[in-house]
Amino acid sequence: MIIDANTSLGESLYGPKATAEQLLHRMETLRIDRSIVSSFTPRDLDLRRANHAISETVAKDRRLIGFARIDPRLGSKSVAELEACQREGLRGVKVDPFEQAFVINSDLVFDFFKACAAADLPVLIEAGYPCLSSPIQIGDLAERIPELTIIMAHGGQLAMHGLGIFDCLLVIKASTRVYVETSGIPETGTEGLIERSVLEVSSDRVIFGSNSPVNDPAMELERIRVSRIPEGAKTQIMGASLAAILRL
Amino acid sequence: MIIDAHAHCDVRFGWIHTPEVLFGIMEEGGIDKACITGLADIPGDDDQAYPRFVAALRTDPDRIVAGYLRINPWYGNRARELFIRSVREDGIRGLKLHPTTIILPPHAPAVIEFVRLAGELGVPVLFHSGDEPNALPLQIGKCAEACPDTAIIMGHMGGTFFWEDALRVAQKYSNIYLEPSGNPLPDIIQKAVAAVGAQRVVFGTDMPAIHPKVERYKLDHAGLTPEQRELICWRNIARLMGLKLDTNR
Repeated sequence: MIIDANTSLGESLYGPKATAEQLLHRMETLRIDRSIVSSFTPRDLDLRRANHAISETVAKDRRLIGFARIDPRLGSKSVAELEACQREGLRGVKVDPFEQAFVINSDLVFDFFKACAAADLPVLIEAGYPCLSSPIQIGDLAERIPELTIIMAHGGQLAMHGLGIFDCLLVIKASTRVYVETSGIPETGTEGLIERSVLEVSSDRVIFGSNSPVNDPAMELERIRVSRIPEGAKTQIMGASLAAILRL
Repeated sequence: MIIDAHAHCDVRFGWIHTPEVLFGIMEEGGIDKACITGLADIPGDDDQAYPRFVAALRTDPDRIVAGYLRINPWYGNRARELFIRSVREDGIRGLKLHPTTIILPPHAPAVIEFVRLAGELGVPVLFHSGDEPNALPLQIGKCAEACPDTAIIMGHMGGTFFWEDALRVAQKYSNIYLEPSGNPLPDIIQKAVAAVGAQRVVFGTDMPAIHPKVERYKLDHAGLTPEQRELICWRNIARLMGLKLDTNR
């Protein structure tokens, strides 16, 4: 089973857009069985409306699993939105520290992530923004909320200079509930992050994601296929790791 | 034919990028020939880095067709003399500058001196560019402005966050060539071609750290005409490097 951990729907304030129909068509073409979907930051900035639309979309097709997009800076309002999304059947949270302008391990957002942990909802973090969500900052958050499940999008390599690999490995070795999501990770050849995460930590800590539609899921699947890791590890990455987290 | 304009061949920092490793990954990725650089800035802490690089370059001249010497400008005259000798006597055809590891911005006087020297010697400069301080396309643009007679290849063309700067800088300075390895956007090659034309885009992978199959995906889905593809895949880099190739094979 192939599960894509990171796709977005709707029309982004920043340009990209995608419909559920387009995503499902691409999934069928590439034999992706299920996808986590969340909203882009919408052009009207109304995340409540966007989250409700995601809940309606996933209710129509069980191949899609909904995550909420929440601005964690708003204190009790953020937590209230989290609870509303959970009531509507969303299974996790995606946050983007650049689009909502916050530092991932700051006190400003700490209580929100505590609430995510208490609600047993995993958090997918757009990771690798310098100053906002570098792997070492995510590691600090994980250390302070050890019961929080964190999926580190792009393995924290959103800034693709490669210098974040060491921090990423350090973090996933130290925190057993931090996972590496693979979209856009450039180092796919020898001694790259995917290979080292599997060999030095475990394949069940690495999760396939495409970052569709910004990235191309066919190209993102290729990153896993060319990695120099055992075939069993690839199967684990393609779906089993995430299925275990979400208890699918 | 595909010539990879940005490959690595060296053993350092725990990376084992020997010629054999490189040839294996070239075969997997359908890469015919490669222009290599090392992993050590020379001169530096590793006295064997230069002979190791020259030896790698001579392993199989049909597949490793050219090399950029990775120079550390902090070493002044020693670096200058080595670079000149490498081009005149040892067949080196390019200069590699990695602003992050040499801890100098591309527009620093010490860097500009070497970029100008490369132009005088008739060889291109491959800059690492990307998301970290000292490696920004706008900084490389200032260097290009100061060195109009030197061909500058902008490796990674600004990384994830700065590719728009890379396009604008390349539009402004005609001595800049764009190399898109590592950038996660599937249409980055189309963007580069639309901005500056296929004559100033070169295909590179940064292998073996980056697998060429992933980079090939971007190339193979770029919707290039056969003429554009030839330019990007080998004609441009062959011209920049002064390579004489048997194109009938």
